[in-house]
Amino acid sequence: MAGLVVLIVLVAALVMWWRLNVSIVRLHSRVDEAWSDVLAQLQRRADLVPSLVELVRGYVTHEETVLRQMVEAWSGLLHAQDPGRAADAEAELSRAVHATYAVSERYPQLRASSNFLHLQRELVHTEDKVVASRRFYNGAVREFNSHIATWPGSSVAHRHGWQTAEFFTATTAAADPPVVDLGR
Amino acid sequence: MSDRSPHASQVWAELLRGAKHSRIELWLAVLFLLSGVIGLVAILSAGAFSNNGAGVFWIAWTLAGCYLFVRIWRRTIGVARARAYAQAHGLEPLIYRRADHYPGMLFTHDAARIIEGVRTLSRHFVEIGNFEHFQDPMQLRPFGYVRMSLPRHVPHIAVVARRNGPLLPFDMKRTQRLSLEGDFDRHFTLYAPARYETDALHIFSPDVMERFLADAPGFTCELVDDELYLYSRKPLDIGGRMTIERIEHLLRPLAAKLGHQLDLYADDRVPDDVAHPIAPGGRRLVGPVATAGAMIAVSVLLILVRIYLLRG
Repeated sequence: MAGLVVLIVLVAALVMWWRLNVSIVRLHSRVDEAWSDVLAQLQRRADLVPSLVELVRGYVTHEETVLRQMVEAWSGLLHAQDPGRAADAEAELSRAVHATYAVSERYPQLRASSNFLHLQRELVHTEDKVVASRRFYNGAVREFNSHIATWPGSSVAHRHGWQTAEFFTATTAAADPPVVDLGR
Repeated sequence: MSDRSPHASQVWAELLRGAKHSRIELWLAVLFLLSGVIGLVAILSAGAFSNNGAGVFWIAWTLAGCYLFVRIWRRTIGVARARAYAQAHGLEPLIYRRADHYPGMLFTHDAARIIEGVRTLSRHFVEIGNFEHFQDPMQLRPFGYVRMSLPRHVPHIAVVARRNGPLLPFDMKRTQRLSLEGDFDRHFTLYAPARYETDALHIFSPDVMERFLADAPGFTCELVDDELYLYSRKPLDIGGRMTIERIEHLLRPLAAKLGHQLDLYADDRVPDDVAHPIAPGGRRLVGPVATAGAMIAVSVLLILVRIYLLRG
């Protein structure tokens, strides 16, 4: 009888180990999925920037610095590989885009342009989507990290070489871009 | 909806005008209660209270009569109040009406019936009421609900209030649960279909979540098709000033914030020419499936026990 009990305990432990590993893999794939969602939203946002630059350039003649900053931020975002850098680049781009909105206040023709209004609306919408995807990603990372940081998940994670994932958090002062009011 | 409660005379008039079967039910409950009281008085005056448990029998009879009377009275008065409120404010009264065609999860569960409720007549409606599953003996208690139309279709999202317990008819598949920042996770659990997590968080922005935490701690919320549902474990006092005020206080800003979030919402997975605005994968949340792990574990254990027994 004792042999059977030992056997059952062993099998139960193995199953538990296997289940823990499966749940870690599942949580990690969720982090990956959330990260690809963040990248998709960032790409979507980045795709709008060249149109904005071109449009603004057509109306604005003495604001090259603002446009250059936007192009640099855009380029930085396209080349960002890890969550930390991507978050910094995204914050930088937000700052540059909002600086462009501020500049546009001085050009009534630009403000009145339907293309500009449409683009501005699209950018704000995409910005909302970026925020949502960032929340999803950070939630997935939080869950994954807490799972592999607490026992018994920590033992399984250590054995299989899982490491904590990085949060999508900007380290620069531009982390909280100003709010744009579209008159809604 | 206005928060003005119906006058007592209006409620009384509706009570008298109400459905015949409700009045019969009420009279039967009164008779039941009275017979209990008469029986109790009779055995007390005859000094036979402790004879063969007669006292216990008549006390139990009277208590059952009290329970029945209170229950039927509450329901009848609730219906009358809802009718009077609807009458006074130009709303549509919903009395003992089948509701199993509503897309909300609690309504599709068995035979759902609205006991009493009111609905605005506009195309973008708001509906407040109480309902029950009248064929499910385990669900005899009525639930309160608020139903509101949304400006556009959304993926199926559920925000389950933890204090409400297992209010929804089935547990959601765990992979649909989203981890959220701040205090929200302590009070609510948010579920969204797989691959619709970002959409759900776009709709449930921090502003909307804040609104929920502040004003709807006991409500479970569901967004399905183009409707929003709020479920309360306790029935709502339809026509009661406090109820309408509370619902208005919650709905007005919530609707404004949700409207803002939904303003530009569109499911990117659906081409423009497709009839339904949400892709099939996002239309409904799914319940849990038996995990392969548990099945394998049970099978292995059974095989081991069998081998052991054969060897023994």
